[in-house]
Amino acid sequence: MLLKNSLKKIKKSFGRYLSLLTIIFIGVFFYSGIVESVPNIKNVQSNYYDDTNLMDIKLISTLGFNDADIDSILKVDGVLNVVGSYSKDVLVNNDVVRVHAIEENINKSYLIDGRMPDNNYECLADADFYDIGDIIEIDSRYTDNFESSSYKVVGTIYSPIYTSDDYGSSDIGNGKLHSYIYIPKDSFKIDYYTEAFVNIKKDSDDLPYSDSYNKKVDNVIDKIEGIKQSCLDERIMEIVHNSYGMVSKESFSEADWFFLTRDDVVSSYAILEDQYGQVTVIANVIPIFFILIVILMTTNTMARMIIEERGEMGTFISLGYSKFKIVSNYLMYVLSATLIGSILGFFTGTIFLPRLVYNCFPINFPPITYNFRMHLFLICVVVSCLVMSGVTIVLCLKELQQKPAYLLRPVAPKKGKTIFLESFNFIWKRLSFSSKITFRNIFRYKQRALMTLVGTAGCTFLIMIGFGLRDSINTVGTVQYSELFRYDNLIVLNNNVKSITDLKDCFDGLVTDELLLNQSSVKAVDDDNSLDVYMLTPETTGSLFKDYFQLRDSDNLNEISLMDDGVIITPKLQERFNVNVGDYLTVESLDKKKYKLKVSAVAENYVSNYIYMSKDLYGRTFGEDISYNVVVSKNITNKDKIATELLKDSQILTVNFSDDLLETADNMVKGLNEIVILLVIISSLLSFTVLYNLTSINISERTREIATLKVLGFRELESNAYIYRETLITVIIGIGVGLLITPPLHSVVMSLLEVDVMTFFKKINLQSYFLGGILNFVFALIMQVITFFKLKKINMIESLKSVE
Amino acid sequence: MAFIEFKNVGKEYIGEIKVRAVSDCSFEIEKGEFVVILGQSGAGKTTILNMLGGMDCPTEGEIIVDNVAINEFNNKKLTEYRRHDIGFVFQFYNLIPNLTALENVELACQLCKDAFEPEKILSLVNLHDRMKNFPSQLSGGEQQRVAIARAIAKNPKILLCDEPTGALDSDTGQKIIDLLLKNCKKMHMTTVLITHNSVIADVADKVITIKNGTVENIKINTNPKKVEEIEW
Repeated sequence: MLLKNSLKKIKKSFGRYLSLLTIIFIGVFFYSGIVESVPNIKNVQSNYYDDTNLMDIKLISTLGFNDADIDSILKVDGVLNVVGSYSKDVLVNNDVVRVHAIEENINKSYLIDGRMPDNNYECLADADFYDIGDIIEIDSRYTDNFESSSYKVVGTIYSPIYTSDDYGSSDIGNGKLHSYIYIPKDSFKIDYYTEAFVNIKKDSDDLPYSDSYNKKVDNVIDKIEGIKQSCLDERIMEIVHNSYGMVSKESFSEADWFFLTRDDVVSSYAILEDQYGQVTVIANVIPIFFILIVILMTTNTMARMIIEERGEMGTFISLGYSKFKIVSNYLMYVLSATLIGSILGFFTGTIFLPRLVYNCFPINFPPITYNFRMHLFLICVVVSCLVMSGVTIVLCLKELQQKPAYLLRPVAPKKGKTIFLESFNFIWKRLSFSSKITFRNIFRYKQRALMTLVGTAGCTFLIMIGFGLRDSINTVGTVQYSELFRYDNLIVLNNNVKSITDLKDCFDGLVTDELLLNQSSVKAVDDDNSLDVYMLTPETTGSLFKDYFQLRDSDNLNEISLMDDGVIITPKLQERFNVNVGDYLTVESLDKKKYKLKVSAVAENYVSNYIYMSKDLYGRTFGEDISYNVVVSKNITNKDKIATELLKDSQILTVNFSDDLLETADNMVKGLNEIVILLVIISSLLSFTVLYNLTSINISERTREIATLKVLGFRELESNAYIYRETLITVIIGIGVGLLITPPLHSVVMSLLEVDVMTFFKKINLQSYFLGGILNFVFALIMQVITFFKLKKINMIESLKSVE
Repeated sequence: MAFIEFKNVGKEYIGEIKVRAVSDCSFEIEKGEFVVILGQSGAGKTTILNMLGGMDCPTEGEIIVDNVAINEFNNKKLTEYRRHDIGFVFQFYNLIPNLTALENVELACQLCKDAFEPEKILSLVNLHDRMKNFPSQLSGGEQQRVAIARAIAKNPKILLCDEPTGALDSDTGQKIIDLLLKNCKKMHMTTVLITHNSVIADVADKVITIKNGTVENIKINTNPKKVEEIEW
């Protein structure tokens, strides 16, 4: 009987049922989807690494490795597998291509199309650049180490090592790694292994980036360090022996092994960790506001429904139904909407949102797979049901406490009251008649006006924080590499030099206006924190330095100069170590020596952290004569030519172009940018639903009033204005409040998003204020149109009916 | 020609089943007359009032008001007709709860140019002291007087009243009828009142009795009773 009644109720008020369901759907959709995104993508990443046996440690030796080395490493505690392998950088049509050996047990590739090679003249190649059937011709200068000078592509692949657009650098060609191929191991003609890949023993909890994983890696590296020297000694013996006395032991004084982890080897591994962090922050912060609005709206809808149904409640009570039965009648209505809404929301959210977020990440992983997490499902469904039934029970019981006779009478329309504004007679009497009515109505329906205000303010906030995130993040790279750093390129030298004259020859015709710098990596430290910093000391602080490095005060943007009495630091150092102008900052050099530096100014900066120091102060601080390892300059020909020519010179280690850095910085934030768009779309959807809901309730509550106005002869636009003006005004106030509260909250969200090497703008562009406001206003106007048609449908006969 | 003419008016509602509410209905009303349309509930009197008040259109026949055939009006014209020519008094008053008595009258006055001064009209219905009160602070009779003031203030050609005493006790109802009657005579305002209460009919100039959707009888009272003489 009660079930039948519930079903009838749903049928009767299908619009309201649907709007309740929709709000719950949107809430759960967004929450579950965004919360599930990072774990889901991490899961894909982790599975991908497991399936391909991605290396944990890569070893490089200045002497190469032999089988004895590999055997020794395999015996180290914690090592699961070691594979000696080869790689060489070659030029193919002037692009740098890295040639790897195909391994069976480590760094296996993910085959996109085609098959594995059958013979030593076939290869697998980067699916982003090659197709099956392509012939890869290696430039003749680099064919020595290979069995063939050309390889036929028989399969296209993604390698777990190259997962982002930026593959890294090379020391040949233009210095930029373009693509990669994998050839059969036998096809390499090198008599030592160029590298060794290590898989460590790990268990299922040692997910990428986890502390336990990082600890295990460090541990194994320490242990391999322990056997390093004996291996090197034997290897030197072998080489000396094989050279028949042509080389002596003494020429190997710098022989060493280098340890690289996934952070260094796998492109995007480190960037991904930051991006995960950023999406996680969004996933933790934004849904709070979202859910608040959803709860507000559903409560409101429920309250309205129960007031409308009080007559029926009274009937049930007088018929002798128990309170429990009556309440369960409404519970069934609410819970069925909540269950359907939350379950649909959960599945669509967790299926589609991670996919969308995943596509926003600039990574090459296998397609995302659905990952059902029971506990998230239960949280979403159980919490929605609890909240909704709580609201229903409280509201129902509140009504049921009344006497049935009272319930059978309709709720008296809200009484009119003078509002406080009327006590200011000089204002009140100046208002037009219609504004008086509007003000009265706003205060008469305080609750709804407040809901409209909070809802609109909240949605304006969500949309604006979306645009704000974009503003803060998008411009970082542009400002850093075009406004602050104004040089075209940064050339790293192989050996330190004392003066630019040593290099003039090799720069001729390629770059101009060279400025020598000493760049060293140090750590800023105090008792609790440490932060990686580049310390820059220019050869001259004259006009060339000022041209290349725009040093502006981080607060007032006034130009500041580098003096001999202190260093200039960047804002993150100031924040993290709480040092101000005049204070001392402690830095630790690579050899663990500590130095105190007096801070003379703080300069605007967004990417990485810098300490600028004059040559004179450098000498006094470190007690040594300065020599330079970096040159910044202007291009006078195209980038490819500059890089190719410069890298031919043994004095040059690498060349970085500001253009490329700008692109990399942009790529880093591209993923976030699209998530922001997603956020804006979903917030808009919510904003729209909220307004629709409130408008519908407004109209349904005031049908009689509207019908009366029509009988009195109000024209369509007039009755429309009479009803809607108050909503419009409340919406405008709500937008205003939203615009006011966003900047401070935005600044909090942004500082949560920041990572060590990035500082974000805390400002929101004027254009975003505009968009945030306009979008909501447009929604309000669309609602106005909908209201117009709804009002049109109201029959004047309603006004004649008795009040029931 | 009479001020208001109903010529063979019929009204059919077409829903899931056809319902004939009014058929072949003809009568005339002169300017300044106080007319009662009498009938049991469901007889079709409200439909007649709705059509006369421009809230509904007939499906057959002609309705002429002041030489204009309003049955040919579109929605827009009907709105203007209601706005300028009709004053409507509801059974349940239908005051806007959020407006004071004065403001409820002002709301109607701002609709037409030759409206009366709201305060004067409220004095006319003896509510000058309660002008600043909200409907919830007024008794039923007072509320109905505000509603009448609101209808009269527009200075309409026709004042239509739908069971104006239906929700009131006899004494108060009597006062309301008295008010309507005096207004009709003083302002020369054609007044049409529908009711199921035959006692009220005795005070009217003309009584049109409706039964089964059509006119059963039209009676002209050459000597209508005084309000004080009736009681129910």
